[in-house]
Amino acid sequence: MNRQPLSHILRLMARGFSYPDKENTSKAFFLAVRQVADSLGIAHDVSAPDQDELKEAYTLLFINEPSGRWAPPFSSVYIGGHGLLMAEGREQAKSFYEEVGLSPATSGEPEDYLPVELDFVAHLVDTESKGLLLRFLKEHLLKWFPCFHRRLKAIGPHPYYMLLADMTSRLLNLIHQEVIDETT
Amino acid sequence: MKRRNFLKLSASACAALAALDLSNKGFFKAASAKASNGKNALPGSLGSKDVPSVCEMCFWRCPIVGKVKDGRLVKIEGNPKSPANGPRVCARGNSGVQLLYDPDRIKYPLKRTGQRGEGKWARISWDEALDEVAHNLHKAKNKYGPHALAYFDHGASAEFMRDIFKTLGTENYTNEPAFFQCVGPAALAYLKTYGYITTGTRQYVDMKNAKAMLLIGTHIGENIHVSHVREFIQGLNNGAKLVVVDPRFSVAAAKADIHLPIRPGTDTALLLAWINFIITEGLYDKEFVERNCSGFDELKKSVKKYTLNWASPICDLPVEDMKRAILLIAKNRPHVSIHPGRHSTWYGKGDTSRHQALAILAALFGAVGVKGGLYFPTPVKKGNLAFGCVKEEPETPDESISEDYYPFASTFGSPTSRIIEATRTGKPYPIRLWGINGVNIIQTIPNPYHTMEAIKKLDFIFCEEILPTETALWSDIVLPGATYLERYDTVYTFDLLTPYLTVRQPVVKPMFEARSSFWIARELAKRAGLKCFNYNDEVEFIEEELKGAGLTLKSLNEKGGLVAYKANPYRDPKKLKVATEDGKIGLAIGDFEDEDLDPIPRFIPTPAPPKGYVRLVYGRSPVHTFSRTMNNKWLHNEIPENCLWLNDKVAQKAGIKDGEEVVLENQDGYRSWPIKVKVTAGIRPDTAYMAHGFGSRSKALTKAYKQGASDQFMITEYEDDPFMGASSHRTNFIRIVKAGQAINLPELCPPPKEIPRFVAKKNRTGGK
Repeated sequence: MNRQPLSHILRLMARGFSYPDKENTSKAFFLAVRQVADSLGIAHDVSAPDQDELKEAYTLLFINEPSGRWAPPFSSVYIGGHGLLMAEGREQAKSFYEEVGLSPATSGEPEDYLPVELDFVAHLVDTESKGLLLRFLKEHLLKWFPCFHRRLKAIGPHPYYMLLADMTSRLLNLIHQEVIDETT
Repeated sequence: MKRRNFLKLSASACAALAALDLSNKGFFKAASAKASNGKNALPGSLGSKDVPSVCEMCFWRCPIVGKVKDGRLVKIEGNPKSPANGPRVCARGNSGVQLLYDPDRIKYPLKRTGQRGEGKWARISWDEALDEVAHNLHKAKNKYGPHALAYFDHGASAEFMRDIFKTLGTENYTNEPAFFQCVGPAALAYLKTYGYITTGTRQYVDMKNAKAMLLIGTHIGENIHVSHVREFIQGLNNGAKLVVVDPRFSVAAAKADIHLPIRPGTDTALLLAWINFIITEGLYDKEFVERNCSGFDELKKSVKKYTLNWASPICDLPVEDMKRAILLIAKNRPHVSIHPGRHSTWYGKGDTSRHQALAILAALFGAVGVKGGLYFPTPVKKGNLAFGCVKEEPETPDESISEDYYPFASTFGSPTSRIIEATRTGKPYPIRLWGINGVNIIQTIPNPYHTMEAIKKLDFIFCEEILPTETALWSDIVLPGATYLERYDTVYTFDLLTPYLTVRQPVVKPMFEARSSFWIARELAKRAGLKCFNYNDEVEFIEEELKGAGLTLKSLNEKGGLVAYKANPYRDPKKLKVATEDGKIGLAIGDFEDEDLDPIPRFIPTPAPPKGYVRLVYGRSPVHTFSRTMNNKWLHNEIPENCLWLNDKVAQKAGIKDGEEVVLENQDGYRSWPIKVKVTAGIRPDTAYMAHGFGSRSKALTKAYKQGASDQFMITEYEDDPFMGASSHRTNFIRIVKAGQAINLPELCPPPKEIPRFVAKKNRTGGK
């Protein structure tokens, strides 16, 4: 496998965890998710959801949920134990981005928003920044993503987002192991 | 990654990926050079950029400085330039950081997808949200007329959107909860007596220089307004004597020379007896009254029947204690602070009169415009702001729910109780759309069950909110408002003993898609086709306002964001002229008489608890504001829940132990969520107390949900003040429920014959 498909898969996940729009709810997008899930060996039985259904599911899971059973997609909520936005997790993520001279351009989301972090992993894969990639995964992303993943599982979310989370978890762990193997 | 076989993609997967545009776009740009300056390595707030602004964790609005590092607010301190609070902020002021970065915040415009109250939403764009609100405003207005629109608002930033509703021609905007649930009766009483609102958002009472102070139901120290509390403490430090009238041994009562644990609902009886006593005994300031007051003879005649002996059984206070207290105040006149109170919506009938009696007492002592007494505001000059809203000629409804019911309501809008009734019943005219801004109406207005019933009848309801409150859960569209730390507001002037001018300005950029109230109102006005808000942004009108003070935003910020002025609070009693019609302090108010209301206060008994119940009163927690701060993590950690104060003898007889968790049931059968009992001798046997604002019913407030009990959900019975329509909040009664069984509470202070007992309406079955 070359670098590009790997970073494309990461960006597929980043887009998948972004708010549903025309592009990331297209048939082509959903087909790619299913195909990659198959390649990752993740069993699924998710039929193509429509955009409105995903918008409601996304809002309730990642933005505001009336029962309080939601999974904020921000590292700060999980790292440092304070449960706040813009805390230690965001500072960690930001300092990693700065090491390679990057700064996120979001529409108001903090820098530790999951899609941004996944996009950053794609960038490190593209640029073969193995040392930084290992540190980013080990010291940051894999410190909180498993908590987020567990929280999602406990909620029992829309199957599409559970599939994306399972895929992302598998993918990050595979990359992590691969980088360890290559650097030791 | 040399061994790329760790992930084997099928050909179809590769093809599917290739069909998408997944190139690197959107999330990153090259970092700016300033991102990695060395200052971030310094601990805490060291090396921060300091931005002066104005707090809004409560509505005292202390000047603050936000300390920002790397685009993140790390600390809030008082603005050292402020002559009122200096570098100090209270616990809430400190905790603004936690509001800003609360993950529970409303982050994007939301549209309801489930039932009202369910809180199921989908994120939508600002365009869609604003278009939908504008469309519904016109739809409701065109179908039912302008008065079918109603607006509930609180805070300076909500005033922008209020202009839209006024422009659309409705009489139904409410200044709620600031006026109709809080200061209305007191503000009206003082406005008519002295010609200015001696108590409203602010209280013009010189406690710092007082020789004696009288607090009636005012619990300074539990309700923290930093400079006000400081002046109270400075007064006590200077040796001021303190009389506190309160059925509860409050923080202020603990510092009192005389604490009078009065029977709730009888404060006016005490005040009228005191007024009669000081007139009869010649303890009042004759020269001041003759020179500066009108209506003395009518007052003297009217209060003659109210003796201390008469008041004693009514108030459940010994004559000697009442006499001792008023002599202590009289001895120190005119330098006495007869505190005008603030939250005054207690019993409905008689609330305006009670504050009128307080205003009269101050005048009789000559405690007006002198050190230690009531004082006059020092206006701070600034430019006049005109948003240029072109209002249609207001169409008067056949029957107004404001002035046709309450002669002194219309200046401030329409009473909330009337809006809710009209929405529920369609009478005298239908109300079909509500806009809500800066207030959680379900935890603020009496009888939230009626409020929710009314919401179900609306065609459309929207709100601007920061947190997912109960009100947000009931809304069709939720607009994410910027916190006070993310927005500009109008120029802020403070006209008390330490006058200053400052401005609220954003400390950090708005999070997510939150937008300032001005931006939201301006965009909404545009889409609604209204000619309104002829400024492009907040800075434009702030510069216009500052021009009037000879300042620019730049020059103000160069001065530390605040300019202080010299106060002019006192007057020569020989030359006193107040802003009433005849220039005199009104001891009998003709405007009231003209409307067939009492020109001079008289005692109207408020019904006593039914047998088996005690009266529920409420107050403030020193680290919380209304129901706004319970989800704030730092404040939640300090005081996560409220408790019920219950008299020790009552508790013993009823078998209730300190710390025990119980449920409350009110006279209409509505039950609370569990609350722990604080058994104490510091409250009367006929009264129970809890701090307001707890017991949130929104699960989306993950820290506040179900923490303690909500007093608001126990307030199902209310009466309106006949002068201006504010709703009563202390006319409800509770008993205790343990293991599902209701326990009647023993009556240890039976009411005298002058006070009738409350009789529950027959059709009320509440939670049963």
